[in-house]
Amino acid sequence: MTALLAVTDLVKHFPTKGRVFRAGAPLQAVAGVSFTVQPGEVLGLVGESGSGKSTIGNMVLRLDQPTAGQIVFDGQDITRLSDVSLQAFRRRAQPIFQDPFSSLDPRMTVEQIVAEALVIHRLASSRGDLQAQVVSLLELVGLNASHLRRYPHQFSGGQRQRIGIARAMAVKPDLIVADEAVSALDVSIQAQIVNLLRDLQKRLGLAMIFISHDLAVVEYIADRVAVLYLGRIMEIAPARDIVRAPKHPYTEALLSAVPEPDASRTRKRIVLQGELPSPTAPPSGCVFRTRCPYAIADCAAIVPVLQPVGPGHEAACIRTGII
Amino acid sequence: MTQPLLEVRDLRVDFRGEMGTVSAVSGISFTVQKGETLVIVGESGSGKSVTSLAVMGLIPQPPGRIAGGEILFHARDGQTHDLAKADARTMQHLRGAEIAMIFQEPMTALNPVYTIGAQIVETIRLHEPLSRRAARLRAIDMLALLGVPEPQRRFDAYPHELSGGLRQRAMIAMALACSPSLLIADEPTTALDVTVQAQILDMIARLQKELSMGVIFITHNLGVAAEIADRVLVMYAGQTVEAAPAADIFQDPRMPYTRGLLKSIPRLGMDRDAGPLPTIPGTVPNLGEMPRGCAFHPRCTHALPDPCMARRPDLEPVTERHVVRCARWRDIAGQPA
Repeated sequence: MTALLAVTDLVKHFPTKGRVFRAGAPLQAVAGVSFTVQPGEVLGLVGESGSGKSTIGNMVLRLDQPTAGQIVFDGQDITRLSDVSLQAFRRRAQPIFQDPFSSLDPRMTVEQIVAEALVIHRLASSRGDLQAQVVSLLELVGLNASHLRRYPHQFSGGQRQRIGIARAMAVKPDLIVADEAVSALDVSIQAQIVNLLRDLQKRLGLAMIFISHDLAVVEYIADRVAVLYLGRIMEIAPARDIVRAPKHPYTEALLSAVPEPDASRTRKRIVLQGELPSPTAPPSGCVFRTRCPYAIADCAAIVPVLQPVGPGHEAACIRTGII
Repeated sequence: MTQPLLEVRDLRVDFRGEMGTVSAVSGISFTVQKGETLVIVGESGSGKSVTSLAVMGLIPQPPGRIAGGEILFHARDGQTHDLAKADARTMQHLRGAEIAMIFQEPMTALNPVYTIGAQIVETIRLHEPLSRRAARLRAIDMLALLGVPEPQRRFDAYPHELSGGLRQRAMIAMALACSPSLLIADEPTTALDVTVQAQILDMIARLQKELSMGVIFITHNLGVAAEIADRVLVMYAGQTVEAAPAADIFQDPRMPYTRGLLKSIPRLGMDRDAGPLPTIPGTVPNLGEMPRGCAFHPRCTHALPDPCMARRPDLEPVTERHVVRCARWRDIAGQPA
């Protein structure tokens, strides 16, 4: 199968301020990341703040320009698209954002919000067809025609996220990039939206990059998961294997830190020491070594590369056998 | 039992708004013992934060108002103060010294134009007759106790120079600098990464033991609640709907809302091919549009016209230490949520 999306050696540096009239060391938000997404596949990106997961999502959507590397979508390198081809690409790759309060224009009705992309991409044959499409999109996400003339502020957080999902689905995209799409929702609402996303993804055969700091949600929704630390992939594997048999010390620590609603739990907790190193001056060798409980002298000298450790399972650690 | 550190009795907090007066907290009662962690769990609009602000005397008035009830705090000098009626002077004396609060966003509590050291020293000297030098040493000790690396250097750092996790530690150092007997923590780890959250939760638990503080910990995250709670109080629409020792809440929840919440959280290692996640239908009600009868009935799969839609249920004891606000808790005991 050919990949719908193939990302190769992706790098993003942000300039920083140094001393007067001089640039500081660049902030390496993404430092050489490669992965693929197959049609209909969900790739989860997990990591903590500063891991580069959102920057990757933004570059895949061409909301941000990479410093280096390739992003090939359906055979085309989207980092070099002209404006005309960019518009065609935008019809096929759609974002769903975290904050359903700031990502919807408060002065537009629900109908206008969902119809906007259909109009821009000329996907409706008539005014009647346009409204019919909008209504069926609202129904797709659990809303209905009675909501057409309402404004975003008249909806709860969960309903607004449904509107955001309807807007993304309007152009029948092939790829969705969902960045913390359920993180801002109330606990009792989150499960509704997770189910909706998973149902739509399966029913419509969408490929999706699902970005989240919540490992349990990612495991539930993603087929494969990439674990990021300081702009690098530490481990990538089928979701089940990442959770049940992590091979990278960072993944192990991350999993052990997830608080679980079970008072009788006796799982061992690995509390990471120290702070996330500055992305302007990452450690030599393995970037995780300064906080890794298993680090040895070699870890400062050798830059670990992703190596196969099981079927479809790769980890970037010179001591993978340790876990 | 010894006298509780804090006893809240039938607390009511109203807010006046465009839609008229609404009750954000409508009659809540609980106690916190010395050395105990009470976790208040709820979603947005449940009244959990308003409850904590009321204890701190920080309800913005207007539009807010403590409309009834008592907040009895047992101070170190043996006196019992009703914080619901305490004057500004008493509150100022207690806040910081005996009752401290930490927030989700440390920048709301830290002043950006002073170094963190200066702010911790100010708090200490406000409540204790210490020299500048002694207060400085105490502040550095506190930062070290909270696991801030290079505390001497960080003493002179401005808040913006610190990472989110370090800022949170600095705020906690400031809150704990005078060894308060009651700590109120309102979602203190919600904005943090899970590994940092784990560090902070461990630290709060350790310091609580050392200082034998009572802690009110407010969160929407049931996982966090399970990690640290002695007792859990579940709020919905301004009321307690269930309260019990942590083990009972997680192993034997009785309120359909608590059961629904626990079932709807994705957990690590769950089988996603078993079908969609169980959900609680509908949305959290607006304070201005409370349903009649049980506030949860429109979302409850067990609701009946009578009694659920007719009358607001009372809190009933399940066991001596477990209460639930559900008229049908006996009928549904054996049924799935």
